[in-house]
Amino acid sequence: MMIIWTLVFVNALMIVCLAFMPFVTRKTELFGVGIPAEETNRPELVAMRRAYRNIAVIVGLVLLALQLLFMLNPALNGGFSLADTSHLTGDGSVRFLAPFFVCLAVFIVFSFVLYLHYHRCMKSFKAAQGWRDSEGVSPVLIADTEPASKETVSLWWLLLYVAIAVATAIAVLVIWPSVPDRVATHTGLNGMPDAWADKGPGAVLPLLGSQWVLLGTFALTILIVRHAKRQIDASDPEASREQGRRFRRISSALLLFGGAALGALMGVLTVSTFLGVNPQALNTFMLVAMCLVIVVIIAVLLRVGQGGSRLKVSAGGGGRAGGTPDDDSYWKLGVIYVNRNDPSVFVEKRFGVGWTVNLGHPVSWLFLIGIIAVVVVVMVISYGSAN
Amino acid sequence: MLLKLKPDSDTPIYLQIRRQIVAGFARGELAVGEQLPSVRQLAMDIGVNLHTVHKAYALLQSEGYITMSGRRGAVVAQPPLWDDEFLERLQIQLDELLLEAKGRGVPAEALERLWRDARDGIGNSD
Repeated sequence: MMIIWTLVFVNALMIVCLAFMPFVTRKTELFGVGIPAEETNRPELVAMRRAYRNIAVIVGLVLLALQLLFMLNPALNGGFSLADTSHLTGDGSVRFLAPFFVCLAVFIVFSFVLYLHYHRCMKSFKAAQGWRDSEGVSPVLIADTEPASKETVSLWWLLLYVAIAVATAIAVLVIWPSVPDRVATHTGLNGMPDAWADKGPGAVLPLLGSQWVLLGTFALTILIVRHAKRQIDASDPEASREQGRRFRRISSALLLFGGAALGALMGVLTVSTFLGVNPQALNTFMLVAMCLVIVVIIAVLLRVGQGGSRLKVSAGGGGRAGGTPDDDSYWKLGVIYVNRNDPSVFVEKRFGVGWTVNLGHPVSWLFLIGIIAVVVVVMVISYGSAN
Repeated sequence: MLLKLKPDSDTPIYLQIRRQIVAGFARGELAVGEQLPSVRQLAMDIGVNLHTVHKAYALLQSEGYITMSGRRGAVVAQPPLWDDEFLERLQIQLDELLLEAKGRGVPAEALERLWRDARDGIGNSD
């Protein structure tokens, strides 16, 4: 039963994130379209934001109900029943998980189509109003003279990641003599082991390797926060700078914490696997702990808003510095940024919280290829170790 | 401090950066020893070519307003104090401005008002 609620919870979380997206982006960038700072509270725009949220929530709830229905009904889920979970391994778990993945994929596609609809509405509304971002004032580009490196957590903290990886490896070495000859390397959805390996490097390296990939991903993301473009809103530059600073400090600290927590949990999982801890109790603990970490990260990001735009700051009120340059033409569909004249590789997303790449910069392509390469390598290794 | 640069202006961006950093130093918004963003970071934040920022920093360095070192990057420096050569340069710039004003018939009172306003504006009226 635990697993069903976890799967419903994960999708519910995703639905909340996507449905409330227009409320956490910068107010001057609605549905991927730049709008003048004075016009952000226009009733037409408020109505659009609310309509997007309401439609997304309703469709999301229907999908969640369907997911639950399929998962709980033995006639629809391939014979699964709460009393007998023995076949929740291999093909049985694939069939059991199908409603979850279908719900996930359908909602992501649906919310994107919904976004595109409102993106077009927003664009034609902007054209009809005759808005240019730089309403009568000449556009101004704003930059902080304080280095970005002071805003994020110190990179020395990344030694914590190294410590977690080393501690896990040492713990495995220490308990190695007492590890049985066959080790369960994977557990099925019912919490029972469904893959074993002979005692040896082949049993350890995939587990340790996935921890390193996780820690590496978080470390890389912290570096991205540090080296991304710092966007400052011209309508109140002082306040916007302060919000941006806090946003980068909070997100880098949050990433550091999230990576350390998830990395440590994976270490605990690895060591417990070799110690032969009751897999069902272990799985429950891991699921709850990982969900908690992810909920904390999402809750903080939603509270802070893109670029810190939802934070109240005492700085500012110094009035506007000038118009905001109109960047709409560089944002394909409002989500893909392509600007050859911008030396930034990473920029703030227009629709969402976080950063995206500038496809006009060659390094961004190398970055994307690198990510795909890592994913492929991880998949090949985990497939290899499962056989 | 914040740099506010106008892409539409007749003054090129690199000169705008140079002027605002010089002004920031004179107003005390930038202190000696304060670190400035790297060329790359500033170019990204503004959204201009790296070359533009490099040009501004090179100019500031040659005038003694910043020092550039490999490890710490650009750092605000104490520019050399005034000397006869500096006064001479100011004289040339002032002559240029006054002659331009004279050519357009700006009255002496208007010029004096401008002078007073500028002095008050930079908070140095004594």
